[in-house]
Amino acid sequence: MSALNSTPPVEIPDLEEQTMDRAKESFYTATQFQLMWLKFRRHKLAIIGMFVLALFLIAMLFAEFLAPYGSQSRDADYLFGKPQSIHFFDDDGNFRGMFVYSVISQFNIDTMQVDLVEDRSEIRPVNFFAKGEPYKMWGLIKGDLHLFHVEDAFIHLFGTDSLGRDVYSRVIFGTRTSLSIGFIGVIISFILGLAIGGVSGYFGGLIDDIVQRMIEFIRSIPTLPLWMSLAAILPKEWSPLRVYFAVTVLLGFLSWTTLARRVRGKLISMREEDFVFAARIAGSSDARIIWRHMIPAFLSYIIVDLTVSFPAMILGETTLSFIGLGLREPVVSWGVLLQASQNIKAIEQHPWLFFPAIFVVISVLAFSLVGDGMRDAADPYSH
Amino acid sequence: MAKYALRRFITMVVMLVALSLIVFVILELPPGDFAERYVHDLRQSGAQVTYGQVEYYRHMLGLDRPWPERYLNWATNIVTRFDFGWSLTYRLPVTKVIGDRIWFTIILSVVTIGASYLIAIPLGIYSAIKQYSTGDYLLTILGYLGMATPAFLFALLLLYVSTMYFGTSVGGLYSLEFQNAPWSWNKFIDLMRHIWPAVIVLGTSGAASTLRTMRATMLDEKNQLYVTVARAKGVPENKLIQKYPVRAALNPIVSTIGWELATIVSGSPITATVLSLPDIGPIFLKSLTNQDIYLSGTILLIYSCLTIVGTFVSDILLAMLDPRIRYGGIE
Amino acid sequence: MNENDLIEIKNLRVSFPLDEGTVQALDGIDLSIPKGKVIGIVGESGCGKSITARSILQIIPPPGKIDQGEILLRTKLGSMNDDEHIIDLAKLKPDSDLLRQIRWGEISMVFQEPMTSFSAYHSLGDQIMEALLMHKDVSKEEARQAAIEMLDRVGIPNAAVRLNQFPHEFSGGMRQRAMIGMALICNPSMLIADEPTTSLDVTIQAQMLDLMKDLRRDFGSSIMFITHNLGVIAQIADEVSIMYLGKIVEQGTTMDIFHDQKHPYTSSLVEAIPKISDARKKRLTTIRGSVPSPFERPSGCPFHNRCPKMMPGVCDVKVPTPIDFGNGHKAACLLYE
Ligand SMILES: Nc1ncnc2c1ncn2[C@@H]1O[C@H](COP(=O)(O)OP(=O)(O)O)[C@@H](O)[C@H]1O
Ligand SMILES: [Mg+2]
Repeated sequence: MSALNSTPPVEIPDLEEQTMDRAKESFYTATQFQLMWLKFRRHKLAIIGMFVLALFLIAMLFAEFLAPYGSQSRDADYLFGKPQSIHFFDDDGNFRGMFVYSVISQFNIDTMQVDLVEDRSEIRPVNFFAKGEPYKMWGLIKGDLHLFHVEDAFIHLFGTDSLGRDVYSRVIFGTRTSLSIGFIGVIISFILGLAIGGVSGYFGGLIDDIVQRMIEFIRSIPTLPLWMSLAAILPKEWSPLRVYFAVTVLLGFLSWTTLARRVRGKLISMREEDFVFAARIAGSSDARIIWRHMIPAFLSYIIVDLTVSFPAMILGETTLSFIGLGLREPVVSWGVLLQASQNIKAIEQHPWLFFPAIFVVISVLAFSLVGDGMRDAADPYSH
Repeated sequence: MAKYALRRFITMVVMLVALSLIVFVILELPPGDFAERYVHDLRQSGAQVTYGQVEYYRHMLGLDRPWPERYLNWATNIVTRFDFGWSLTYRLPVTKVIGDRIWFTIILSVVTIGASYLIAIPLGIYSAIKQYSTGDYLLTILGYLGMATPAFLFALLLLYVSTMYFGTSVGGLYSLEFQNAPWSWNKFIDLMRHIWPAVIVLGTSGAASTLRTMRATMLDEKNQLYVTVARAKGVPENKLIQKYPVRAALNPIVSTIGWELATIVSGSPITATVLSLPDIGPIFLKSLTNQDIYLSGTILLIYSCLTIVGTFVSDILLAMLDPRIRYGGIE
Repeated sequence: MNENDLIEIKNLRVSFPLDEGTVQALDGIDLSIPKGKVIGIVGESGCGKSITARSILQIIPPPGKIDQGEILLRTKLGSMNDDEHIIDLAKLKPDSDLLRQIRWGEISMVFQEPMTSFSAYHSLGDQIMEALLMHKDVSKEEARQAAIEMLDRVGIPNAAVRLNQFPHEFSGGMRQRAMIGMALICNPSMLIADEPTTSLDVTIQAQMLDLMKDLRRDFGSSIMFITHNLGVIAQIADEVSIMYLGKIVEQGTTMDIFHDQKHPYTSSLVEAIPKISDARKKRLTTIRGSVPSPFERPSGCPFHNRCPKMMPGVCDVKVPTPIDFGNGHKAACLLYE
């Protein structure tokens, strides 16, 4: 023992370090996105959210096909009509495929009012992939094929509004508008955040200081009142389309700060990080370092931030339009549709006008679930 | 620490001044002004109005002065006489229009945040301790739903449910005898009895996110080495959870209280409108659509002030509650 | 259980049931710790050293669990008539009173990461006194005095003031000193030191080792000293156990391990220590191959795929059992069967 005690305390090959190196190697052979996907897949809720978002995306892309009617087409005989029931069996209990009954007006002696009732004498089958109202897909491609259509009658799954417009079709078109605002807004804040955060983090010094103070300042103005004020000063005579773009830009402009901070923080911290240092020692060029190492390392964070900012955009649009400061007819968005159910009376009498709310909640929910799943997956230290 | 607080305070004041300017400019931006709008409304109602009358109103209301001058006037009056200007829609001083409503807004927000912490924090702790239990899953779902439902939709839903199934409207906030009574303790108690639907609506999303944050930080802290050390020291499990992870997880939540309060206040205008609460939200909306800029400007300023002051309070709380900042250097 | 032994671990098996499969972290550990001796545990990272230590206190991170085995402790705690008796720690409930008394009262532990061993929100004094107040019948003031003395003892200057400070005000080395102080404050019969110097820089490491040697002399506790660094072991341990993939492959006195190794794994570890004489001439010898993935344990002898003396058809088939070379020197290698 005493002999050993005099063993000089020399550097011992650190066994731990050898295993670490190997771990790192295999870590970098699987690309970061593969790893993220593996981790993401474990979140069942996030997967469900992803699936729902895919459905929304389809609705957004193929609105004209999925909606049986145009967003402004009216059914003058069916104002404030209830959602129609879908039937499979006729009154005698025979299976007749999927069908609806047509609706007729009937004078009700007791209430002295005209009631809309099903005419049960004639069956109107629901035809899938059938020709119906002609449309121009995205205003470009002519077509008249619809997912479903009823000949010689109408089908209003979610009922109709005060003008007899099909709520279901309008919700589908609203999906396109509301999500597109989200997408464009997110792209705007992505570009601004990347550029401003990048400049701030890259140059540092005075520019960084100024940008940081500016961001702090913008963040100190509460979002909703600011949105409301800015939306309120949009000139009244602007066309609905122009208002649509203005609102989109507005929402995009106000949410870039989070991303800018993230990009700046990452840039600053990564300048000092081991793998960047190692790459530099190994003689990599700056550009190569940035592309091969730095960008992949924080791209995941950026994607997460963008996903998380989606719901805020959708809610922003919905809120503004709901109170009449945002989009206007004939542009339809979820918020515009919800204007019809602004007070309790409206909802009491025509609860189906509240359908768009479900879409708002589900889309926000789906984005949050996916965002959370991605946040977990992007974090290399989370379990 | 004191130095830090002072520096933060000065920043806050500078921000407030800059903010008042920005607010004024934003509201000045649109072409047209109140005079035009007023005359336009008169015309709509059938009155004969000449162009000269627009000019007359404009001059009378001082709208023909250049905006820097009007801003300076406005700002000076605020500082020296606490006079925020004249509301052109209500034909009253802005302070009168806002009057009691601001107190209502503050009471509502404080009660809301209190209630939401009281409910969300224990539930968050429970959820973290019983991770993956049925209760945890249920709370997770509720949490996500709470965060995903915009408050104004929730308000509509609550209105609908209460009228459909309980036959009462939740709109009324005071019993008859207090309707127009001045503020008193009894009126306050009465208000508390009727305020809960508004509290639920305004508090849900905040409570949901508090719950999620509490759960996440608890789970994070629970697996920290210092908790294992405490366990190895023989500290009983209950005591251990309270002393270590709960303490650590409360820190970010308690210290963001100022910020949270501001979020509730500034997030409330739409909900307040839907529920027709006597809060500053509905008049904010109205003043915006009417281009009643002194009124809307003042309210926007109030919202922003609350956010800035809230952030200030949160920063100070954070510094006080976290020993690393309290005794260490900041930055 | 031997008269002189404080702890005897018998056939301890610990596993982690994970989504990807089950990790057998400990695959039948037999180990005894005599009273007042320093036992070194050596092995590459991931071989199960920390899990062995944590099993004793039942603080294995979830979802890890003890599947099998006994952890016998000779103690006076929990005995009716204040006599020494033997308790199986593996059988105690994690939140039972007796186990809580044993934690820190009989066995305390110093962890690898001093930076995260203390809560940032409580003063160091609070956390050290907590240990004492939990186990000894003392007043707050007495606990304070004891804590000051202890900090002083482990080499923290100005202890009375430092006691009220928070962890972030201490360097890593100072925190580890405080941690050692906290571990000794209840005068335990055994101290587990799980790589206490690994995360510190080299000069501090040497100071820390000196401190441990001093304390060992003064307190007379048994010490279970865990490290992946054989050079450190040589300076402090009486006996050494070499671990590989959740098994102890060789154990014996420090002398035996350094000069008369039986297991090829031990030999490669010892060869991997650079000698001053040949530092300039040779590259460092490292052990070839890598530790297998924890999900795929090799058949037969766990070391066979990296072993220079591997005997095909034998080592990859048969599981070796420990062979006694006398005087407590054992090795589990098929070369000797
Ligand atoms: N928290 C955990 N979750 C899953 N597996 C674990 C965990 N901790 C340890 N293990 C497994 O137990 C084995 C032994 O770990 P450990 O005792 O910490 O090794 P070391 O010898 O480095 O202290 C590791 O290889 C790992 O597979
Ligand atoms: Mg370890």
